[in-house]
Amino acid sequence: MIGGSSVANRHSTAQNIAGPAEYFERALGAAAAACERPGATVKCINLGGGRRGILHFCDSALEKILYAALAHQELPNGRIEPDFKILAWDSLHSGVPMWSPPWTTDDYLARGEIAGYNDERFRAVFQLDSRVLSLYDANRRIGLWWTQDFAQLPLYERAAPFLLLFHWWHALNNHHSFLLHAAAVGTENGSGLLLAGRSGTGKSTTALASLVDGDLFYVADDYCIVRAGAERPTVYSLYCSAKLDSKTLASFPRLGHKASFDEIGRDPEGKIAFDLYRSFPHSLRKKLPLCAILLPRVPKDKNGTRPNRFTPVGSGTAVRALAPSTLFQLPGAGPNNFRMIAALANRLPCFQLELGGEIASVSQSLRQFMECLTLNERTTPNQRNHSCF
Amino acid sequence: MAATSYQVNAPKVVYEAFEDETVLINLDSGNYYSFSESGALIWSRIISGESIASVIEYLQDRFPNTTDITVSVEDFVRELVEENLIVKNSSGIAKNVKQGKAEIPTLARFERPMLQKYSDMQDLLLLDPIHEVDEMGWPHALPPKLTEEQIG
Repeated sequence: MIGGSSVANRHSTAQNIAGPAEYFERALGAAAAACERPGATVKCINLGGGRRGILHFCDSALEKILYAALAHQELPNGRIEPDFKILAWDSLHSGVPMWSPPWTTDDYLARGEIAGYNDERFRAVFQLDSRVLSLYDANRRIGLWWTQDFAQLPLYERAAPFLLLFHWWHALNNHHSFLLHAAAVGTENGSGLLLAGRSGTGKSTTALASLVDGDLFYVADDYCIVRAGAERPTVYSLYCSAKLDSKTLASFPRLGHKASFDEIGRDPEGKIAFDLYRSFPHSLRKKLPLCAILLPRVPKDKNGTRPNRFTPVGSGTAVRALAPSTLFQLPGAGPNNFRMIAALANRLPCFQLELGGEIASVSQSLRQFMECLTLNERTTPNQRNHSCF
Repeated sequence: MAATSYQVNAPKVVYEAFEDETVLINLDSGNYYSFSESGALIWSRIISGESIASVIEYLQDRFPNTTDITVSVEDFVRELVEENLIVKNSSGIAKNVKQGKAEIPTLARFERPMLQKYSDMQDLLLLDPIHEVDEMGWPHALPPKLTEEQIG
Protein backbone atom coordinates (compact mmCIF):
# COMPACT_ATOMS: atom_id res chain seq x y z
CA MET A 1 0.00 0.00 0.00
CA ILE A 2 1.52 3.33 -1.07
CA GLY A 3 -0.65 5.42 1.24
CA GLY A 4 -3.82 7.46 1.34
CA SER A 5 -7.44 6.59 1.87
CA SER A 6 -9.25 4.27 -0.51
CA VAL A 7 -10.57 5.80 -3.67
CA ALA A 8 -14.22 5.65 -4.67
CA ASN A 9 -15.11 3.93 -7.91
CA ARG A 10 -16.26 7.10 -9.61
CA HIS A 11 -16.31 10.58 -8.22
CA SER A 12 -17.16 13.66 -10.14
CA THR A 13 -17.60 16.32 -7.51
CA ALA A 14 -15.92 17.09 -4.23
CA GLN A 15 -17.69 20.20 -3.08
CA ASN A 16 -17.74 19.06 0.52
CA ILE A 17 -13.94 18.87 0.76
CA ALA A 18 -12.91 21.17 3.57
CA GLY A 19 -9.40 22.30 2.59
CA PRO A 20 -5.92 21.34 1.41
CA ALA A 21 -5.38 18.48 3.89
CA GLU A 22 -8.58 16.71 2.94
CA TYR A 23 -8.16 17.28 -0.78
CA PHE A 24 -4.59 15.99 -0.63
CA GLU A 25 -5.70 12.89 1.28
CA ARG A 26 -8.34 12.08 -1.30
CA ALA A 27 -5.96 12.74 -4.19
CA LEU A 28 -3.38 10.51 -2.51
CA GLY A 29 -5.97 7.76 -2.35
CA ALA A 30 -6.59 8.09 -6.07
CA ALA A 31 -2.85 8.20 -6.81
CA ALA A 32 -2.22 5.10 -4.71
CA ALA A 33 -5.00 3.23 -6.48
CA ALA A 34 -3.51 4.16 -9.87
CA CYS A 35 0.06 3.33 -8.88
CA GLU A 36 -0.80 -0.06 -7.34
CA ARG A 37 -2.48 -1.35 -10.50
CA PRO A 38 -0.87 -4.20 -12.44
CA GLY A 39 1.59 -2.61 -14.83
CA ALA A 40 2.48 0.26 -12.49
CA THR A 41 6.23 0.93 -12.30
CA VAL A 42 8.70 2.30 -9.77
CA LYS A 43 12.03 4.10 -10.16
CA CYS A 44 14.57 5.15 -7.57
CA ILE A 45 16.58 8.32 -8.23
CA ASN A 46 19.45 10.31 -6.78
CA LEU A 47 18.39 13.73 -5.48
CA GLY A 48 21.87 14.99 -4.64
CA GLY A 49 23.60 15.18 -1.28
CA GLY A 50 22.99 11.49 -0.60
CA ARG A 51 19.21 11.89 -0.72
CA ARG A 52 17.01 9.54 -2.68
CA GLY A 53 13.61 9.75 -4.28
CA ILE A 54 11.04 7.14 -5.33
CA LEU A 55 8.93 7.73 -8.42
CA HIS A 56 5.73 5.73 -8.87
CA PHE A 57 4.12 5.70 -12.32
CA CYS A 58 0.67 4.31 -13.11
CA ASP A 59 2.10 2.48 -16.13
CA SER A 60 5.22 2.06 -18.23
CA ALA A 61 3.93 4.39 -20.97
CA LEU A 62 3.78 7.31 -18.53
CA GLU A 63 7.17 6.30 -17.14
CA LYS A 64 8.62 6.38 -20.62
CA ILE A 65 7.34 9.92 -21.16
CA LEU A 66 8.34 11.40 -17.82
CA TYR A 67 11.40 9.44 -16.79
CA ALA A 68 13.71 10.01 -19.78
CA ALA A 69 14.87 13.40 -18.49
CA LEU A 70 15.68 11.89 -15.09
CA ALA A 71 17.29 8.64 -16.25
CA HIS A 72 20.83 9.85 -15.46
CA GLN A 73 19.83 10.01 -11.78
CA GLU A 74 18.75 6.36 -11.65
CA LEU A 75 19.65 4.28 -8.58
CA PRO A 76 19.11 0.56 -8.13
CA ASN A 77 15.60 -0.16 -6.92
CA GLY A 78 15.54 -1.42 -3.39
CA ARG A 79 13.66 -1.27 -0.16
CA ILE A 80 14.72 2.15 0.99
CA GLU A 81 13.07 4.86 3.01
CA PRO A 82 13.01 7.66 0.43
CA ASP A 83 13.60 11.31 1.23
CA PHE A 84 10.94 12.19 -1.32
CA LYS A 85 8.14 10.25 -2.95
CA ILE A 86 6.24 11.15 -6.12
CA LEU A 87 3.14 9.40 -7.45
CA ALA A 88 2.24 10.14 -11.07
CA TRP A 89 -0.82 9.05 -12.96
CA ASP A 90 -3.33 10.03 -15.60
CA SER A 91 -7.01 9.17 -15.54
CA LEU A 92 -7.52 8.23 -19.18
CA HIS A 93 -4.99 5.38 -19.24
CA SER A 94 -5.20 4.22 -15.61
CA GLY A 95 -8.99 4.45 -15.39
CA VAL A 96 -8.63 6.06 -11.96
CA PRO A 97 -10.49 9.37 -11.85
CA MET A 98 -9.28 12.44 -10.02
CA TRP A 99 -11.37 14.36 -7.54
CA SER A 100 -12.92 17.38 -9.16
CA PRO A 101 -11.67 20.74 -7.90
CA PRO A 102 -13.60 22.00 -4.90
CA TRP A 103 -12.33 25.52 -5.65
CA THR A 104 -13.73 27.98 -8.21
CA THR A 105 -12.21 29.54 -11.33
CA ASP A 106 -11.62 32.74 -9.32
CA ASP A 107 -9.22 30.85 -7.06
CA TYR A 108 -6.46 30.44 -9.70
CA LEU A 109 -3.76 33.00 -8.92
CA ALA A 110 -1.18 34.55 -11.23
CA ARG A 111 1.37 31.73 -11.01
CA GLY A 112 -1.24 28.95 -11.04
CA GLU A 113 -1.47 28.62 -7.24
CA ILE A 114 -4.90 27.70 -5.99
CA ALA A 115 -6.07 30.17 -3.35
CA GLY A 116 -6.80 28.48 -0.03
CA TYR A 117 -4.86 25.33 -0.96
CA ASN A 118 -1.34 26.62 -0.38
CA ASP A 119 -0.09 26.95 3.17
CA GLU A 120 2.97 26.09 5.25
CA ARG A 121 2.42 22.39 4.70
CA PHE A 122 0.55 21.97 1.40
CA ARG A 123 1.08 23.23 -2.12
CA ALA A 124 -1.40 23.00 -5.01
CA VAL A 125 -0.99 24.30 -8.55
CA PHE A 126 -2.92 23.57 -11.74
CA GLN A 127 -0.91 24.55 -14.81
CA LEU A 128 -3.31 25.68 -17.49
CA ASP A 129 -1.08 25.16 -20.49
CA SER A 130 -0.06 21.60 -19.60
CA ARG A 131 -3.24 20.76 -17.60
CA VAL A 132 -1.11 19.16 -14.91
CA LEU A 133 -2.16 19.28 -11.26
CA SER A 134 0.75 19.20 -8.79
CA LEU A 135 0.11 18.67 -5.07
CA TYR A 136 2.68 18.50 -2.29
CA ASP A 137 2.60 17.61 1.39
CA ALA A 138 5.76 18.90 3.08
CA ASN A 139 5.17 16.91 6.28
CA ARG A 140 5.15 13.56 4.52
CA ARG A 141 7.41 14.68 1.65
CA ILE A 142 4.98 13.27 -0.90
CA GLY A 143 4.27 14.87 -4.27
CA LEU A 144 1.31 14.02 -6.50
CA TRP A 145 1.30 14.61 -10.25
CA TRP A 146 -1.90 14.18 -12.23
CA THR A 147 -3.23 14.94 -15.69
CA GLN A 148 -6.30 13.72 -17.53
CA ASP A 149 -4.47 12.35 -20.59
CA PHE A 150 -0.68 12.13 -20.71
CA ALA A 151 -0.74 11.97 -24.51
CA GLN A 152 -1.60 15.70 -24.46
CA LEU A 153 1.46 16.76 -22.45
CA PRO A 154 3.54 19.57 -23.96
CA LEU A 155 7.20 18.95 -24.71
CA TYR A 156 8.47 21.05 -21.81
CA GLU A 157 6.72 18.78 -19.32
CA ARG A 158 8.65 15.84 -20.75
CA ALA A 159 11.92 17.75 -20.74
CA ALA A 160 11.47 18.95 -17.15
CA PRO A 161 9.05 16.58 -15.38
CA PHE A 162 7.86 17.22 -11.80
CA LEU A 163 9.51 20.65 -11.81
CA LEU A 164 7.16 22.16 -9.23
CA LEU A 165 7.35 19.11 -6.97
CA PHE A 166 11.15 19.26 -6.93
CA HIS A 167 10.96 23.00 -6.31
CA TRP A 168 8.65 22.58 -3.31
CA TRP A 169 10.67 19.72 -1.89
CA HIS A 170 13.77 21.91 -1.88
CA ALA A 171 11.95 25.06 -0.73
CA LEU A 172 10.03 23.48 2.12
CA ASN A 173 12.24 20.60 3.22
CA ASN A 174 15.83 21.53 2.35
CA HIS A 175 16.97 24.82 3.79
CA HIS A 176 20.27 25.18 1.94
CA SER A 177 19.29 24.15 -1.58
CA PHE A 178 16.97 25.67 -4.14
CA LEU A 179 15.84 25.19 -7.71
CA LEU A 180 17.11 27.77 -10.16
CA HIS A 181 16.29 28.63 -13.76
CA ALA A 182 19.83 28.46 -15.12
CA ALA A 183 22.21 26.29 -17.13
CA ALA A 184 25.56 25.05 -15.82
CA VAL A 185 28.80 23.72 -17.33
CA GLY A 186 32.32 23.16 -16.01
CA THR A 187 35.73 21.58 -16.29
CA GLU A 188 37.25 18.29 -15.21
CA ASN A 189 39.12 19.98 -12.34
CA GLY A 190 35.85 20.84 -10.65
CA SER A 191 35.09 24.41 -11.66
CA GLY A 192 31.52 25.19 -12.60
CA LEU A 193 29.86 28.15 -14.30
CA LEU A 194 26.25 29.13 -13.83
CA LEU A 195 24.67 30.51 -17.02
CA ALA A 196 21.75 32.80 -16.29
CA GLY A 197 19.17 34.61 -18.36
CA ARG A 198 15.67 34.24 -19.69
CA SER A 199 14.94 32.05 -22.71
CA GLY A 200 16.53 33.38 -25.88
CA THR A 201 19.51 35.10 -24.28
CA GLY A 202 21.97 32.37 -25.31
CA LYS A 203 21.99 30.33 -22.09
CA SER A 204 21.16 26.96 -23.63
CA THR A 205 23.23 27.69 -26.72
CA THR A 206 26.30 28.36 -24.58
CA ALA A 207 25.74 25.26 -22.47
CA LEU A 208 25.21 23.01 -25.46
CA ALA A 209 28.14 24.50 -27.36
CA SER A 210 30.35 23.56 -24.41
CA LEU A 211 29.25 19.99 -24.81
CA VAL A 212 28.76 19.42 -28.51
CA ASP A 213 31.68 21.36 -29.93
CA GLY A 214 33.93 21.32 -26.89
CA ASP A 215 35.17 19.23 -24.05
CA LEU A 216 33.49 20.79 -21.04
CA PHE A 217 31.21 18.93 -18.69
CA TYR A 218 27.50 19.58 -18.72
CA VAL A 219 25.34 19.86 -15.62
CA ALA A 220 22.15 21.60 -16.69
CA ASP A 221 20.42 23.20 -19.63
CA ASP A 222 17.46 25.04 -18.14
CA TYR A 223 16.95 24.11 -14.48
CA CYS A 224 19.41 23.12 -11.81
CA ILE A 225 19.69 22.81 -8.06
CA VAL A 226 22.09 25.06 -6.17
CA ARG A 227 23.31 24.24 -2.70
CA ALA A 228 24.85 27.21 -0.92
CA GLY A 229 25.22 26.76 2.80
CA ALA A 230 28.48 27.40 4.60
CA GLU A 231 30.44 25.50 1.97
CA ARG A 232 31.33 26.69 -1.52
CA PRO A 233 28.18 27.03 -3.67
CA THR A 234 27.64 23.91 -5.73
CA VAL A 235 25.38 23.26 -8.69
CA TYR A 236 23.60 19.91 -9.02
CA SER A 237 22.10 18.38 -12.12
CA LEU A 238 18.36 17.79 -12.16
CA TYR A 239 17.52 16.85 -15.75
CA CYS A 240 19.55 15.40 -18.62
CA SER A 241 17.47 17.07 -21.32
CA ALA A 242 18.21 20.01 -23.59
CA LYS A 243 15.49 21.87 -25.49
CA LEU A 244 16.33 23.57 -28.76
CA ASP A 245 14.19 25.40 -31.27
CA SER A 246 14.77 25.02 -34.99
CA LYS A 247 16.69 28.30 -35.25
CA THR A 248 19.18 27.34 -32.52
CA LEU A 249 19.37 23.79 -33.82
CA ALA A 250 20.72 25.13 -37.10
CA SER A 251 23.77 26.34 -35.14
CA PHE A 252 24.61 22.75 -34.22
CA PRO A 253 24.95 20.79 -37.45
CA ARG A 254 26.15 17.74 -35.51
CA LEU A 255 22.91 17.61 -33.51
CA GLY A 256 20.72 18.32 -36.50
CA HIS A 257 22.10 15.66 -38.78
CA LYS A 258 23.43 12.88 -36.62
CA ALA A 259 20.70 10.30 -36.25
CA SER A 260 22.34 8.73 -33.21
CA PHE A 261 21.48 11.64 -30.95
CA ASP A 262 18.56 10.49 -28.87
CA GLU A 263 15.48 12.60 -28.56
CA ILE A 264 13.06 12.85 -25.68
CA GLY A 265 10.50 14.32 -28.04
CA ARG A 266 9.61 17.15 -30.37
CA ASP A 267 6.64 19.46 -30.71
CA PRO A 268 4.70 20.74 -33.75
CA GLU A 269 6.64 24.04 -33.71
CA GLY A 270 9.88 22.17 -34.41
CA LYS A 271 11.32 22.37 -30.91
CA ILE A 272 13.29 19.25 -29.94
CA ALA A 273 14.22 17.94 -26.50
CA PHE A 274 17.46 15.93 -26.66
CA ASP A 275 18.39 13.15 -24.30
CA LEU A 276 21.94 14.12 -23.35
CA TYR A 277 22.42 11.16 -21.05
CA ARG A 278 22.16 8.78 -23.97
CA SER A 279 23.88 11.06 -26.46
CA PHE A 280 26.80 12.22 -24.27
CA PRO A 281 26.93 9.81 -21.33
CA HIS A 282 30.53 10.63 -20.40
CA SER A 283 30.14 14.41 -20.49
CA LEU A 284 27.43 14.82 -17.89
CA ARG A 285 28.29 15.71 -14.29
CA LYS A 286 25.95 15.35 -11.33
CA LYS A 287 27.50 18.29 -9.51
CA LEU A 288 30.22 20.93 -9.73
CA PRO A 289 31.43 23.63 -7.33
CA LEU A 290 30.65 27.06 -8.77
CA CYS A 291 33.30 29.66 -9.55
CA ALA A 292 31.26 32.35 -11.37
CA ILE A 293 27.91 33.44 -12.77
CA LEU A 294 27.80 34.27 -16.48
CA LEU A 295 25.05 36.17 -18.26
CA PRO A 296 25.29 35.16 -21.93
CA ARG A 297 24.02 37.60 -24.51
CA VAL A 298 23.61 37.10 -28.22
CA PRO A 299 24.38 40.42 -29.93
CA LYS A 300 21.71 41.70 -32.32
CA ASP A 301 24.25 42.40 -35.04
CA LYS A 302 25.78 38.95 -35.26
CA ASN A 303 29.35 38.99 -36.48
CA GLY A 304 31.15 35.67 -36.58
CA THR A 305 34.62 37.15 -36.45
CA ARG A 306 34.38 38.84 -33.05
CA PRO A 307 35.83 37.12 -30.00
CA ASN A 308 33.60 36.14 -27.09
CA ARG A 309 33.87 38.94 -24.53
CA PHE A 310 33.61 38.75 -20.73
CA THR A 311 32.71 41.93 -18.81
CA PRO A 312 32.39 42.11 -15.01
CA VAL A 313 28.89 43.10 -13.83
CA GLY A 314 27.44 43.76 -10.39
CA SER A 315 25.48 41.30 -8.27
CA GLY A 316 22.27 43.25 -8.88
CA THR A 317 22.61 42.80 -12.63
CA ALA A 318 23.12 39.06 -12.14
CA VAL A 319 20.10 38.84 -9.86
CA ARG A 320 17.95 40.56 -12.49
CA ALA A 321 18.93 37.76 -14.88
CA LEU A 322 18.46 34.95 -12.35
CA ALA A 323 15.63 35.82 -10.01
CA PRO A 324 12.61 36.98 -12.06
CA SER A 325 12.65 34.06 -14.48
CA THR A 326 13.04 31.64 -11.56
CA LEU A 327 10.44 33.20 -9.29
CA PHE A 328 7.78 33.68 -11.98
CA GLN A 329 8.12 30.08 -13.17
CA LEU A 330 7.93 28.55 -9.72
CA PRO A 331 4.68 29.10 -7.81
CA GLY A 332 5.32 29.50 -4.11
CA ALA A 333 8.80 30.91 -4.63
CA GLY A 334 9.03 34.11 -2.63
CA PRO A 335 11.28 36.08 -0.29
CA ASN A 336 13.32 33.04 0.82
CA ASN A 337 14.17 32.02 -2.74
CA PHE A 338 14.97 35.62 -3.62
CA ARG A 339 17.28 35.97 -0.62
CA MET A 340 19.12 32.75 -1.53
CA ILE A 341 19.58 33.89 -5.14
CA ALA A 342 20.82 37.28 -3.89
CA ALA A 343 23.25 35.61 -1.48
CA LEU A 344 24.56 33.41 -4.28
CA ALA A 345 25.16 36.43 -6.54
CA ASN A 346 26.95 38.20 -3.71
CA ARG A 347 29.28 35.23 -3.16
CA LEU A 348 30.32 34.65 -6.78
CA PRO A 349 31.93 36.95 -9.34
CA CYS A 350 29.44 37.87 -12.07
CA PHE A 351 30.21 38.54 -15.74
CA GLN A 352 28.34 39.28 -18.90
CA LEU A 353 29.38 37.03 -21.77
CA GLU A 354 28.84 38.66 -25.12
CA LEU A 355 28.84 35.82 -27.60
CA GLY A 356 30.88 36.56 -30.69
CA GLY A 357 28.77 34.49 -33.04
CA GLU A 358 31.17 31.62 -33.69
CA ILE A 359 29.65 28.85 -31.60
CA ALA A 360 32.61 26.50 -31.98
CA SER A 361 34.78 28.98 -30.07
CA VAL A 362 32.56 29.18 -26.98
CA SER A 363 33.94 26.12 -25.22
CA GLN A 364 37.55 27.27 -25.55
CA SER A 365 36.64 30.78 -24.34
CA LEU A 366 34.90 29.39 -21.28
CA ARG A 367 37.89 27.20 -20.47
CA GLN A 368 40.30 30.15 -20.74
CA PHE A 369 37.95 32.26 -18.65
CA MET A 370 37.89 29.69 -15.85
CA GLU A 371 41.68 29.34 -15.94
CA CYS A 372 41.95 33.12 -15.60
CA LEU A 373 39.52 33.11 -12.68
CA THR A 374 41.49 30.37 -10.93
CA LEU A 375 44.73 32.26 -11.48
CA ASN A 376 43.26 35.46 -10.07
CA GLU A 377 41.86 33.62 -7.05
CA ARG A 378 45.41 32.74 -6.05
CA THR A 379 46.69 36.30 -6.22
CA THR A 380 46.10 39.46 -4.22
CA PRO A 381 43.57 41.98 -5.56
CA ASN A 382 46.40 44.28 -6.76
CA GLN A 383 48.05 41.49 -8.72
CA ARG A 384 44.87 40.36 -10.47
CA ASN A 385 44.92 40.42 -14.21
CA HIS A 386 41.45 41.33 -15.44
CA SER A 387 42.64 41.74 -19.00
CA CYS A 388 42.80 37.96 -19.38
CA PHE A 389 38.97 37.91 -19.46
CA MET B 1 2.25 63.21 0.62
CA ALA B 2 4.97 64.88 2.70
CA ALA B 3 3.75 63.68 6.11
CA THR B 4 3.01 60.17 4.88
CA SER B 5 5.25 57.19 5.46
CA TYR B 6 5.25 53.98 3.42
CA GLN B 7 6.17 50.34 3.68
CA VAL B 8 7.03 47.64 1.17
CA ASN B 9 3.95 46.01 -0.35
CA ALA B 10 4.89 42.62 1.10
CA PRO B 11 4.50 39.75 0.45
CA LYS B 12 3.65 40.64 -3.16
CA VAL B 13 6.88 42.60 -3.52
CA VAL B 14 10.34 41.26 -2.72
CA TYR B 15 13.52 43.32 -2.94
CA GLU B 16 17.25 43.21 -2.27
CA ALA B 17 19.81 46.01 -2.26
CA PHE B 18 23.13 45.33 -3.97
CA GLU B 19 26.25 47.41 -4.41
CA ASP B 20 25.34 48.31 -8.01
CA GLU B 21 21.56 48.53 -7.80
CA THR B 22 18.41 47.66 -5.86
CA VAL B 23 16.21 44.99 -7.47
CA LEU B 24 12.47 44.65 -6.78
CA ILE B 25 10.05 42.01 -8.03
CA ASN B 26 6.27 42.29 -7.95
CA LEU B 27 5.25 38.63 -7.81
CA ASP B 28 1.63 39.38 -8.69
CA SER B 29 2.08 41.60 -11.74
CA GLY B 30 5.06 39.89 -13.40
CA ASN B 31 7.00 43.16 -13.45
CA TYR B 32 10.39 43.72 -11.90
CA TYR B 33 12.33 46.91 -11.29
CA SER B 34 15.70 48.37 -10.50
CA PHE B 35 17.18 51.67 -9.46
CA SER B 36 20.53 52.84 -8.22
CA GLU B 37 22.30 55.72 -6.47
CA SER B 38 19.77 58.39 -5.40
CA GLY B 39 16.87 56.00 -6.00
CA ALA B 40 18.49 53.38 -3.79
CA LEU B 41 19.18 55.99 -1.11
CA ILE B 42 15.57 57.26 -1.10
CA TRP B 43 14.23 53.70 -1.09
CA SER B 44 16.36 52.67 1.89
CA ARG B 45 15.03 55.60 3.92
CA ILE B 46 11.38 55.19 2.85
CA ILE B 47 11.23 51.53 3.81
CA SER B 48 12.85 52.23 7.16
CA GLY B 49 9.65 54.11 7.97
CA GLU B 50 10.71 57.72 7.46
CA SER B 51 8.09 60.21 6.33
CA ILE B 52 8.57 61.67 2.87
CA ALA B 53 9.10 65.09 4.47
CA SER B 54 11.93 63.67 6.54
CA VAL B 55 13.55 62.07 3.50
CA ILE B 56 13.38 65.37 1.61
CA GLU B 57 14.79 67.28 4.57
CA TYR B 58 17.65 64.84 4.89
CA LEU B 59 18.51 65.12 1.18
CA GLN B 60 18.28 68.91 1.22
CA ASP B 61 20.71 68.97 4.16
CA ARG B 62 23.07 66.63 2.41
CA PHE B 63 22.90 68.22 -1.04
CA PRO B 64 22.28 71.94 -0.30
CA ASN B 65 23.05 73.10 -3.86
CA THR B 66 20.47 70.86 -5.52
CA THR B 67 17.17 72.57 -6.29
CA ASP B 68 14.74 69.92 -7.48
CA ILE B 69 14.93 67.46 -4.59
CA THR B 70 11.32 67.83 -3.43
CA VAL B 71 9.85 67.27 -6.90
CA SER B 72 12.25 64.40 -7.63
CA VAL B 73 11.43 62.57 -4.41
CA GLU B 74 7.68 63.09 -4.71
CA ASP B 75 7.66 61.93 -8.35
CA PHE B 76 9.72 58.87 -7.44
CA VAL B 77 7.43 57.98 -4.53
CA ARG B 78 4.37 58.49 -6.72
CA GLU B 79 5.82 56.05 -9.24
CA LEU B 80 6.56 53.48 -6.53
CA VAL B 81 2.97 53.76 -5.31
CA GLU B 82 1.51 53.54 -8.83
CA GLU B 83 3.51 50.37 -9.44
CA ASN B 84 2.19 48.94 -6.15
CA LEU B 85 5.70 48.56 -4.78
CA ILE B 86 4.96 50.49 -1.59
CA VAL B 87 1.78 51.15 0.36
CA LYS B 88 0.97 53.63 3.09
CA ASN B 89 2.37 52.61 6.44
CA SER B 90 -0.37 50.71 8.23
CA SER B 91 0.84 51.83 11.66
CA GLY B 92 0.43 55.47 10.65
CA ILE B 93 3.52 56.37 12.64
CA ALA B 94 6.29 58.00 10.66
CA LYS B 95 9.84 58.23 11.91
CA ASN B 96 11.69 61.50 11.68
CA VAL B 97 15.23 60.25 11.29
CA LYS B 98 17.90 62.68 10.25
CA GLN B 99 20.87 60.35 10.64
CA GLY B 100 20.15 57.30 8.58
CA LYS B 101 22.29 54.18 8.74
CA ALA B 102 21.45 52.91 5.27
CA GLU B 103 23.31 55.63 3.41
CA ILE B 104 25.18 55.00 0.21
CA PRO B 105 28.63 56.41 0.89
CA THR B 106 29.66 56.78 -2.73
CA LEU B 107 26.75 59.07 -3.61
CA ALA B 108 28.63 62.30 -4.35
CA ARG B 109 25.72 64.26 -5.80
CA PHE B 110 21.99 63.98 -6.08
CA GLU B 111 20.53 63.02 -9.43
CA ARG B 112 16.89 62.54 -10.28
CA PRO B 113 16.06 58.89 -9.38
CA MET B 114 15.07 56.62 -12.24
CA LEU B 115 12.80 53.62 -11.72
CA GLN B 116 13.62 51.06 -14.41
CA LYS B 117 10.67 48.79 -15.15
CA TYR B 118 10.94 45.38 -16.87
CA SER B 119 7.82 43.63 -18.17
CA ASP B 120 9.40 40.84 -20.20
CA MET B 121 8.27 38.10 -17.79
CA GLN B 122 4.56 38.76 -17.87
CA ASP B 123 3.92 35.94 -20.34
CA LEU B 124 4.89 33.50 -17.58
CA LEU B 125 1.89 34.54 -15.51
CA LEU B 126 -1.83 33.95 -15.69
CA LEU B 127 -3.12 37.50 -15.76
CA ASP B 128 -6.50 36.93 -17.44
CA PRO B 129 -9.46 35.45 -15.59
CA ILE B 130 -10.52 31.86 -16.33
CA HIS B 131 -13.99 31.55 -17.82
CA GLU B 132 -14.39 27.97 -19.05
CA VAL B 133 -13.97 24.58 -17.42
CA ASP B 134 -14.49 21.01 -18.64
CA GLU B 135 -17.23 18.69 -17.36
CA MET B 136 -15.02 17.72 -14.38
CA GLY B 137 -14.41 21.34 -13.41
CA TRP B 138 -10.82 21.68 -14.67
CA PRO B 139 -9.96 24.81 -16.67
CA HIS B 140 -9.38 24.36 -20.38
CA ALA B 141 -5.88 24.56 -21.79
CA LEU B 142 -4.69 28.00 -22.77
CA PRO B 143 -4.73 28.73 -26.50
CA PRO B 144 -1.22 28.66 -27.97
CA LYS B 145 0.51 32.03 -27.86
CA LEU B 146 1.11 33.63 -31.24
CA THR B 147 4.70 34.17 -32.22
CA GLU B 148 5.93 37.56 -33.37
CA GLU B 149 5.99 36.26 -36.96
CA GLN B 150 2.36 35.11 -36.70
CA ILE B 151 1.28 38.44 -35.28
CA GLY B 152 3.10 40.11 -38.12
